[in-house]
Amino acid sequence: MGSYALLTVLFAPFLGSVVLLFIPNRAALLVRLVAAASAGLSLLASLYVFMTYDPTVGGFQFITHWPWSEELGIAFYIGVDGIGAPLVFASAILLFAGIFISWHIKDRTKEFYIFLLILAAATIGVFMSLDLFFLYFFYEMSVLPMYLLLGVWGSHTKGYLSMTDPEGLKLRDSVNFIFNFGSNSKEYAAMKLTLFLSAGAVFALMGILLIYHFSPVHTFDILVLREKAHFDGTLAWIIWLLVFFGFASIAPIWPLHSWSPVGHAAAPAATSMLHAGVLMKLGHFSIIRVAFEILPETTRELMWIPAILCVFSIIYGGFVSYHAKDTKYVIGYSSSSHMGYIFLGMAALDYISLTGAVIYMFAHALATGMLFAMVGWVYEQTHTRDIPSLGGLAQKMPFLAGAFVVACMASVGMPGTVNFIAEVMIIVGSWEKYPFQVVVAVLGIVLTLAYLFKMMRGLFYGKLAPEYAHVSDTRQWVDRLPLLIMISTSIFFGIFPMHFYEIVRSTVVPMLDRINQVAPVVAQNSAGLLP
Amino acid sequence: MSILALETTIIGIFVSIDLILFFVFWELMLLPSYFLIKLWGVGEERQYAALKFVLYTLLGSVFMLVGFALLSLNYHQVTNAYSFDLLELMKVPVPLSDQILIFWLIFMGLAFKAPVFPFHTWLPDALVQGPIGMSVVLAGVKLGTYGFLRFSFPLLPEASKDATVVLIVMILGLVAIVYGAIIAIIQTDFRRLLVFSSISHLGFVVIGLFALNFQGIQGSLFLMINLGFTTAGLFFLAGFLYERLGSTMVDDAGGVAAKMPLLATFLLIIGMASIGLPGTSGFIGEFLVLLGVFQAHWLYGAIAVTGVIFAAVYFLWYYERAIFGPLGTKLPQVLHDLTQRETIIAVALCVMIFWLGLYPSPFLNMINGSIKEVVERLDKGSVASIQLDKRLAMDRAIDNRTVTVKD
Repeated sequence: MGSYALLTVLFAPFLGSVVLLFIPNRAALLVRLVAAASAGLSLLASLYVFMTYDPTVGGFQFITHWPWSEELGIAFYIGVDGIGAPLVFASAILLFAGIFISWHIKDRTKEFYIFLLILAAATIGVFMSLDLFFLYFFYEMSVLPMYLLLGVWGSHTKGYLSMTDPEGLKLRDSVNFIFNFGSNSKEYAAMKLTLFLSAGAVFALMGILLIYHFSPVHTFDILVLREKAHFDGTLAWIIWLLVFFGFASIAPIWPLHSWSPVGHAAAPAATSMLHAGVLMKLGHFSIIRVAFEILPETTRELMWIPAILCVFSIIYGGFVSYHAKDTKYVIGYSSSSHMGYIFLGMAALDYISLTGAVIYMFAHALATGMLFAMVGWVYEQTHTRDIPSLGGLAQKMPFLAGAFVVACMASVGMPGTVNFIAEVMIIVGSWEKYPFQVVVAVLGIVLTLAYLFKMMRGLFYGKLAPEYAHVSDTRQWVDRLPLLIMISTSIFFGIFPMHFYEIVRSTVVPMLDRINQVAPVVAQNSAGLLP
Repeated sequence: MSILALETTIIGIFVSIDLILFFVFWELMLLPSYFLIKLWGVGEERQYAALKFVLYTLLGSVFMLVGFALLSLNYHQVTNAYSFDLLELMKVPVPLSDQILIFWLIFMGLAFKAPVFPFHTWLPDALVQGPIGMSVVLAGVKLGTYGFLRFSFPLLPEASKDATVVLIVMILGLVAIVYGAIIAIIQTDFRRLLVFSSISHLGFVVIGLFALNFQGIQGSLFLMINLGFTTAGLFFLAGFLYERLGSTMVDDAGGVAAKMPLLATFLLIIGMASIGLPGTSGFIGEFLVLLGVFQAHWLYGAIAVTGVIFAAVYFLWYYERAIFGPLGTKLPQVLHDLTQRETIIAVALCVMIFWLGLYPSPFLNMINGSIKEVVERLDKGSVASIQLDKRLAMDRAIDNRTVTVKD
């Protein structure tokens, strides 16, 4: 029963996209209903997985193991642990919400939903892969649909350069000689995103192939590799750096982040939600899954690197957000700033902070999902994302204005939302090891409050411009449902976090024992491959 | 008639075990190709393309014939008899210096046909000017790289393993990958884009072969099979597009997905397979090749993986501009979607692509035995394996004798 639930989570969206192929675009309502049904099935199954994951047992549960190529040691091997389960759940929530957020898309509805479902399914696939081959398989699969989602259904970012870098406008254009797109277009954003992410994927692939090549066992099975493979010296450092920076480019850590706000801004609302909500967590998750599991000693030696870089992420992202005038840029840079907290939580290698980091991944997915959904609605109504030209929308959109306050609170980490628990755990857990970074992180929270409230004031309060007199609130249930789902989930786990906490802790504790003391983990019998 | 003749000669090439027979089919292939391009070609410069194709390939073949003759002469020195039988020739070791000379001679022939990087210039002309049916066959069927596997590796294992040889061929393969992909990015004509993408893919096949290990060769063979479906499929679809629009340029297309959803869907599926989307046949082949190449040397692997990035760029960029995007201004008024006949072709290819991509084991099992033999022969070298054969034969003789004694 259990393993079927996990397979349902993964394959329901795939199945939905295949069914959609055979429905003509004329039957738009049927297209939307099929997409919603497959995402709903996936959501229910993931809820079942999340609630029935047994934290007293720990380890990987809901396992499916199908041999695929025995001589290469590849198997379709999936299962979730305490880190995968909440992320699978978050992906399913955001997919379901995203289907409803993009309910009013008129242009090529069918194709849009097909790509969205494939994107989400591939992301879910990464979170449950226990085989390096399939981890890379799903990772790569999640990158390619992004190009078309941005390039076809995206929106141009007007005046991108004048917002972030007015002096460098001419300079940047001359660097773009290879792809003469003009820096403001969605095509430019899509291509930049694809190039960054596939380059990152390629570095990670090199690391994976090196692991495979130099390990004594010829297998891609992560559980066997973490028992049998042992790397040291320069080789371990090279593999670790390839894996870390390969996956951190999607996270995105500070010097590799520049594709991300551009991509967020150009993407349609549902894609931004999935992208900021879960796609970026693929980076952190894969680092935990590959680097933490297979290279524990090197992880202990090198985790100071993200501890340094996360400071720049937090500060830089926060200040750019404060000064950005485009709604999606504010949220995009705030996401890249908040990713710094996760890296800080991971870097401290402490039970509390790592548990906090994992919960933060879940919490941030919901908070940023809400923000992108609402900004998407504002854009759909007003056709602008320029904050100074907007204002006073609260008169026309009372429901949205109220929900926006909740989303800002969640993003800041107000007690009562799950973000609060996560932030407190990260701060408490890493205080001992990285006090300076913790001070920065706390200042980052203040900064978050500043820029989100500034944006809220700019959008919803003040004087309503006359050209926006026609705008309307979310009135239909399809528009309100996704917001209500995300808000209620965030508050529910903010008030009742214990099950969530236990799940994450059951996985984090043995993993950190192994990293800090290099103690052998309790051997999980990997489909009979271990003695 | 010509296209059937072309197919006969191609099958002849694949089944020949005799070197002369192989060479006869190799040359015979030129005749139908020449007339196909010259008489049925769609481009303006088909005369020029046909002649260029024939001259280039003939030039390579001459070198190859000399190589074959040298092999036979060597056989004559040892056994006092002439033979062009592959299995007979494999029994006689060839001195290393001769091997390297013969290797390069045969390499020239195969490289022109394949085409390996600096010998590729006939390919864009032939495929763009020629008729679609012939482009499908020429681009889809990998004759040149097959020749390495059939002749160079078994007959000349020491030369194929030689450090300089491997280095040179690897560099040519890597240059082909990167150069082909970068040139493909800037193409505005879909068929020219396909030509350069297939040059880039051939680079993958070549480096996989010259990784000289099991995974590399397995991946190369798998990639050749895969290219038979994807490159051929893309040329088919390019042909369908050409029939409708009269051109495959980006400027003349634009937004055709709205008018021809089936064509757009199949183009996306087959194109994604061609650039190696996980779940399709292209991914398996590329992954195996990269695995093999990484085992040979990580630096080769590191350069080769960049090809994967560029591949995503050229295909997605063209697709997004030509197939999605706003409706083009030069589009004809009436556009039919794929007919039943065309849909059947596309569906058949897609079935193979997903079968190979999701469950490749039957194919891998089929090719594994032969690859093991090739790899073993490469590892041991010709002399050792010949002696091993002899010893085995002697053992068998002794066994027989003991059996008879017992009787």
